[in-house]
Amino acid sequence: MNYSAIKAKAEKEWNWLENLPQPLIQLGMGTCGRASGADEILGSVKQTLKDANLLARTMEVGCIGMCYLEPLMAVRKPGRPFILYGNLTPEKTEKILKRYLTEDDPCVKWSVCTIGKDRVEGIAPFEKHPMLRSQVRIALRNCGLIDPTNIHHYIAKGGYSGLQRALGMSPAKVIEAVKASGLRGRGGAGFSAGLKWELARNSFKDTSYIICNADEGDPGAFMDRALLEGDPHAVLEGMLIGAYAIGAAEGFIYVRAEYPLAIERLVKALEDMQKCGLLGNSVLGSRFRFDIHIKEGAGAFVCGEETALMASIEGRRGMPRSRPPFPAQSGLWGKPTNINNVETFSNVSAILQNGARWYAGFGTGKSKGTKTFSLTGKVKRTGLIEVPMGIRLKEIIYTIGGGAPKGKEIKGVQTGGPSGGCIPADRFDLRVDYESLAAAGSIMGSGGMVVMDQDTCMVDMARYFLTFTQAESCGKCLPCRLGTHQMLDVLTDICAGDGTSADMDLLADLSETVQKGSLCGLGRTAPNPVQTTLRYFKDEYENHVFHHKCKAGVCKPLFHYEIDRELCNGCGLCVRQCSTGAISGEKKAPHRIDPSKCTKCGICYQCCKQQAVAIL
Amino acid sequence: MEQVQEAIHAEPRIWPQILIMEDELSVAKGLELVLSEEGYTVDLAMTGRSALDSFSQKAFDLLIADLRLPDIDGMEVIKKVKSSRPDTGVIVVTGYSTVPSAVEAMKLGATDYLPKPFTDDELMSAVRVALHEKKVLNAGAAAAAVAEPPVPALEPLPEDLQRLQEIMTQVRQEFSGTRVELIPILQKVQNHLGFIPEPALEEIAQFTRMPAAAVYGIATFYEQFRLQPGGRHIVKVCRGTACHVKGTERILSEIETRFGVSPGQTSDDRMFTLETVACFGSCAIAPVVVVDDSVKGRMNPTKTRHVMEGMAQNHENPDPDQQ
Repeated sequence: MNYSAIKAKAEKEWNWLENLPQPLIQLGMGTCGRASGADEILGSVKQTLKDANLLARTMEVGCIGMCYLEPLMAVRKPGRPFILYGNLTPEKTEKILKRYLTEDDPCVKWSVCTIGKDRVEGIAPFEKHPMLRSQVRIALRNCGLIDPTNIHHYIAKGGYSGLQRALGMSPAKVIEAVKASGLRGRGGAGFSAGLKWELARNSFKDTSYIICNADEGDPGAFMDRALLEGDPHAVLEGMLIGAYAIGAAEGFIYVRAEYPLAIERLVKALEDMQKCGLLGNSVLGSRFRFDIHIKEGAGAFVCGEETALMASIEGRRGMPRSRPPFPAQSGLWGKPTNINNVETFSNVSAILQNGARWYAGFGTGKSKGTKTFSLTGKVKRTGLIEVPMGIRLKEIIYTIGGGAPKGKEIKGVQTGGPSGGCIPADRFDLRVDYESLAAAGSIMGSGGMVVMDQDTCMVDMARYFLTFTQAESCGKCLPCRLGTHQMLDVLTDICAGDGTSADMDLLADLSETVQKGSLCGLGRTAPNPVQTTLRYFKDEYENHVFHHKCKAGVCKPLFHYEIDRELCNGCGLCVRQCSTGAISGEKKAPHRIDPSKCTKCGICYQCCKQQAVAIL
Repeated sequence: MEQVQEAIHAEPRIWPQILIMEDELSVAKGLELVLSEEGYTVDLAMTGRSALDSFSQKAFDLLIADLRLPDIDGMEVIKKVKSSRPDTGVIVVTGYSTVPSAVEAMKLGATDYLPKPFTDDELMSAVRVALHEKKVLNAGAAAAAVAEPPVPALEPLPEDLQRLQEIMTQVRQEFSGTRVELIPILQKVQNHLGFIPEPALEEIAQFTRMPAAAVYGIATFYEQFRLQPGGRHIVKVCRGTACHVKGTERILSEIETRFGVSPGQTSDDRMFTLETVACFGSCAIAPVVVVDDSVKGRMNPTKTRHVMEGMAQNHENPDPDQQ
């Protein structure tokens, strides 16, 4: 089938949907949505429509990125924009549908924003919402707006026009275009995508492979999952373009087994591509031949490293090997292999659709385009965001994220997962690009961004990341295998109150050894969380070591809870919550905590409305 | 399992019989010396025909075969031996090693391929692997003959092993047995059975023509694979950064105190298996707990306890409607 025929069919379907004579109800059915109860909301929508005898269509979409409001629903009446409603419960859903669809009351107080051209009185449009104002959505252009299981939706939105364009160009020209866009690998290291393709193309002899790295293992990152769940074709189109450019006839998507919905979406997407002639012996009627296989990961973080990933595809233990030879020279089964991350591919398809110059118009001199982040932790608005490179950290955390909830104070932000570092709040003027983040001791990484407030202990944070890297070290390089273990032991001692002043020097020393003596990125970056916390939060280490105090109230041996007699109003809420019966006191009189019974679970600290429970 | 092992040990100890097919006398004698020192009974054949003759007269456990022989191609001999006595172990030794010949030998069912020169240790380890695989095969047959064993805690149940046979039949139809398929095969078995029992590892090793140790090595490398049966419900607590910051440890300690399981363990009543996962990628609704396959966001210790108590109660008072 040729492209224009598919495009015509897709546009017809999309136009029909746009001009639907009945209301259209979209539900965010990504993993986050489902975990927050989207299935129940869907049930409630269907029941309400049936009970009230209303005619409307429902459509499942991916994640729009406003995860803090999940479950979400968008309702459109003919000739009006969508109205997005959040924090839904089945009861609320029923009320909204009945009021809006039958009484034409848009329920402004429950609305989040409108999506579409027109306006609805009293509701801000999507682009003006504080979470979205500073965002530029390129990789996530369709997420939450189209049905990810319908290839026609993607095509109607301009999908596969980038591939069509690439097939009309020589592979060298495609590589030129990607180079000109300035796109750098979004998996973390930031190597020029075009250059990487060129290396693979130049090593081509008879066979080469292309791999999409969807082994998103960084704790605190979920951009790739949301993208694969919400718009799989954007990634697959990029992969096809890459395959054409380097001359690969076979591709693999290595996706985490922990992402069953992403796998389901990919399987469906590949079936649809087959039907539309986008895979197989003659892609879109051209001489380009291509097939894609899905490989499920098996829960090893190190497999995100490209040589380990290839070993895993080959059915071996996923252990990294030394480079050179680079995968571009000798990769899967010894053949030239190109590996790019999910987000990189989604950007590639946008670049070929809209042009390299358009893309290079976003971002800074060395870091072009946009970057997706999963903004999580102690901010009001958590979710999936995409911002132009060069944006300042404070804009992400305070404007997009809305600052810390419950009036707490933000202490810092962790970027780049276990390979990254913690950046303190007084450096939030920092621009987000590859070079600036590296200069601050962190890394861009794949895009995890975890915000920490006064209740987060930075020593514990360093210990947490070391627990992770130590467990995930494949064991090949001794400095990584034993070094991370020793570092973890030292940090565990400090958190238990057994630290000494020599421990801090030892940590710095070990960090350097592990960094220099490891083969792959896992070991080389594992000390980053320790080094940055030592650099920016030394006072916390000193408090732990010299004063035996954990002010954040995390390291249990180093603090205790006490009820402030002035603030306590004796409401008894904490008494009911305490599972060990450690709190006692007369009603309406100040309570007290029995330290011998207290397990420091913190439930009283969290539930007290008077903030009378203090960490001492 | 114990009974199977007893059945193996109870057999009168007979040393395995090995046939060396090698036209160079010095090499053949050298091999014979090394192997007989280890206690094996060794016969020699200098040509392909005499090797086939020997096989027609008696059953050998293992054939050590050179590929270049004065009369017939060594590969032909292996093919014939494997077709008449498929459970014979085969090790190929050759001075003219090429990748295609190695591949062909493996396809015919050789367990190892040793290019000359090789050390005594290399030979001995290859022999041990080949003979172990054969023993495993026989043990499988013995296991089938053993009547229902009693079930000690955390051992596979007889129905697990029975289901395993059905799954392995499917596996053999769906996969061709190449190394690339190893991880997908392990995943399939785990998906159907909930874990990968030891006999499964052995059967998979045989199917993929890999040493059982290598299969074990891979199964233990990847976090996903469980080699012991789990509880009725698998509770996975996310240890991602966002979840950690928002109180994973509190949830874990609540589960530990209330249900007596720590990560990686199964409760005594086999109701719950507690696991931790590096990150589920649902960080915006942290902390996340996954109960069986349903992802639950914005959890806290109390909510987690209620969910788990609810599940345990369902088993005590099964809902008549659901049955």
